[in-house]
Amino acid sequence: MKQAFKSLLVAGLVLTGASLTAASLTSARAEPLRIGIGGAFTSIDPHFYNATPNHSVSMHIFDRLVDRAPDVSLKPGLALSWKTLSDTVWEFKLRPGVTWHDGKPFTADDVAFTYERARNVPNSPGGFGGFLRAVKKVEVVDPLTLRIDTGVPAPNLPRELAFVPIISRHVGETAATEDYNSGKAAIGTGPYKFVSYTPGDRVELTRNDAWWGAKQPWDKVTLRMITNPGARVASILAGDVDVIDTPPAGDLAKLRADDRVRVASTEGLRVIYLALHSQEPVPATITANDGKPLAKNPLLDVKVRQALSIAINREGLADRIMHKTARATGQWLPPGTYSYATSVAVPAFDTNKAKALLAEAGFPDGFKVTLFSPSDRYPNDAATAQAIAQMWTRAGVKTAVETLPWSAYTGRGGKQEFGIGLWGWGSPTGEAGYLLSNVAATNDAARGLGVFNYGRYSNPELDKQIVEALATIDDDKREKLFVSAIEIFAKTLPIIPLYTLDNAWVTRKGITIEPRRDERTLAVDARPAK
Amino acid sequence: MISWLARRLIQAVAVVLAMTVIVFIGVNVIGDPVAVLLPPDAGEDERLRVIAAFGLDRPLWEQYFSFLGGALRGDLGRSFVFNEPALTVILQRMPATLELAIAAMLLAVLIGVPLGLYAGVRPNSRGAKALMAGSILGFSLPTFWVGLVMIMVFSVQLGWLPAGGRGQTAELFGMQWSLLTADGLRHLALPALNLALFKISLVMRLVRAETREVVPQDYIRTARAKGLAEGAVIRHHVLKNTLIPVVTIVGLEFGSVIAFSVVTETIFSWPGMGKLIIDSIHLLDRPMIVAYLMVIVVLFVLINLIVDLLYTVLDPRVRLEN
Repeated sequence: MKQAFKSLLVAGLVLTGASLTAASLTSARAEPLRIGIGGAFTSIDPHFYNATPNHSVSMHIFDRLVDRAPDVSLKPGLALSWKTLSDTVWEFKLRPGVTWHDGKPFTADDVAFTYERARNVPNSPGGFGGFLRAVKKVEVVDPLTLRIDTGVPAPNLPRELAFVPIISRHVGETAATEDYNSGKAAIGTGPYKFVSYTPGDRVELTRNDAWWGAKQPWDKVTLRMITNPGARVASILAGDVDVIDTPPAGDLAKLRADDRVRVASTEGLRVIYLALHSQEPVPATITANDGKPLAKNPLLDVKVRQALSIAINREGLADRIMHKTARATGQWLPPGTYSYATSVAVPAFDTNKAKALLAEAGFPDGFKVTLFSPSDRYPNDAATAQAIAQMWTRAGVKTAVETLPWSAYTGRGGKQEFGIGLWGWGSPTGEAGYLLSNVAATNDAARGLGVFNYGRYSNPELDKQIVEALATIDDDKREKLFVSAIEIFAKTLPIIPLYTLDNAWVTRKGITIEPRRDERTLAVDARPAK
Repeated sequence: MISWLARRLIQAVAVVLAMTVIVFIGVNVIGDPVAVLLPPDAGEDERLRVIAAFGLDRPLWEQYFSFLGGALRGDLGRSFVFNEPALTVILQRMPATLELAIAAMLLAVLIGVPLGLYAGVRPNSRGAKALMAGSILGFSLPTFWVGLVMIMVFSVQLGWLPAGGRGQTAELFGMQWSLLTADGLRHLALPALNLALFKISLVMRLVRAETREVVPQDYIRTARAKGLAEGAVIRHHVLKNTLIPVVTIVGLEFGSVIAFSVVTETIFSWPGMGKLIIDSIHLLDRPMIVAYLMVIVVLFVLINLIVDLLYTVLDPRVRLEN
């Protein structure tokens, strides 16, 4: 009896102790967050594949030197400050006292190692070399100071470095992609630590209490891959997950009305546009009304381009086809972003003026075109193409639509097989130069200009403006140059911009998320609602 | 028996070889994986690096023979997007699909065979007629629609079962199985039922038709005449003689469930092989597509072999030599 009493007492003491620790743990808010991601993430190796879902995953575990706020303005990450010492040398002052998930200190040498490794990942299907093209030499001045020599002026360097997750030399030097996937090398400095990764299914993370940033409310984060849009919506409605990204546009109205969930959205950085073939000879898919070949390519005439542009009812597309999840635009960045041109308005829809312009260009009865579009790449891409075809036909340009799955579309488009094609372009750098240099500038592979100029448009006046802007370090001066480049763009139309896409997230009631312009889905942007 | 087996194996190798040629040429004409995979800002140097890394700069026949050489050593190529051996990726996903297929086929047999027997033995009863009418629904309703309705009803409205994903897993034979945990079974219930619905109807109708053919036979009459209990007649004589076509169908269906449960896996976000092949096709991950189809071909060859062997067990009159 006495013995039993004693053990009871001990048990009681142990229990009180246990409940005490439990109480102190709950007071530090211990909630899990489950996120359903629509894109397919393929690896934990942060430099293996440069694609949005992979970025979303690695940004939980790894930090960048320069960080981006949800509105893509730059803010300090692992670097506290940065400045130019000359036109071609940048100095970064690093954050002191940062440690890796394994407890070792973070230093400038890790950054130097990262920028070497990130461009040489074996078998990478599309790596980080592009973000590091400007980095010619990395010099470690002291453990917390780093100098980067760019050879030529590279005003976008901090924006580009905001894409490159920093890994450590002591783990990274011997690690291959498999070691990241197994978790052995998934050692970052970021807000969450790696727990497990099931390919094609989920990533489990736990809070890093030693993180330098604000204290995170979630003790565990699960990133689940739910690629089917219907399944993603069902999962959030059923309460299987707390947050989903990219809800289907058609469901948004219903989701907004549902009081179990909230919708958060913001203007995104992706523009949907039409690329017009701008070289001779005339593409076979552009003919006279009777099907006979045309003598010269009508798309080279700026009047025809303008006519095609104003024959499109952009507001109508954004409103009806895109269910108000897109915004009509005459350029490609949301208003208020750095280098947005307030002087360039959305082209006004005017079928009669379009007809008049076509007549002036020598096509009073129009001509025949085929509009190509992917069918599975952008939200409602094929429906947009069909609507445009009807608008053009009304203005006299008889338009047929041909849609293809993206895997077939992109290859043919890259070979300039389309007379007119529908494309999308994201500007994750949040400035006008990314589209201007890749899409609008004359194709020049050697200089890395116009690589995605699908129509092979060429305008030396615009090129000059772009090249000058890209080499101007001063932010204000560069912005002015970009704005005047956009003004030339609006007059000459290297491409016909249609609308920018909104980014949307759905959360369970009780959770809020700050919507990001750059499409990343991050636990650090989610908060329990007050 | 031995010569039969040898002949079957030679046939199998020929089938697999023919498939490698068809698949290899097929995936090489559907678009350019580099154009799909490369990030939008990649320059020409990056493009050339990727093409060389994937070996796409070599002529097709050279790529084919180096694939064949690798396949003989058990190496079916390396996935472009996972940067892991394609076979490893497939084997990682296999348990998820296998358990889904096993659960669905078990449901199909355990529900379909008794109901089919009942409908065959008592074809004019009301229950039998209701079952037959119901099975038409099971046939004709598209799987994806039924799946979505099941999610809407059982997950979103009633909140009984999760809307998708695979539950907790436990290890057995070095692989992760969710059949072994309660949470895993909860996640498995809806997709397995969704996948089983069509098979239940199929098995039921098949068993019913076979039963109706067997029941009027002389040996059944004889069995009844010698005074065997009705239950024993059905178990020993009717059931056994209806099973040969059922085994064939179940075997083939099992194979197709494993290979092509794409729709159900996509709707229920089930991380199995079906979802893998769809994702791989979207990204034009050529080694993945080729390896997957190779695994499926081998699987079907094996299943057919097992089905043939089962015939001899069920019906001693069947001789494999013919």
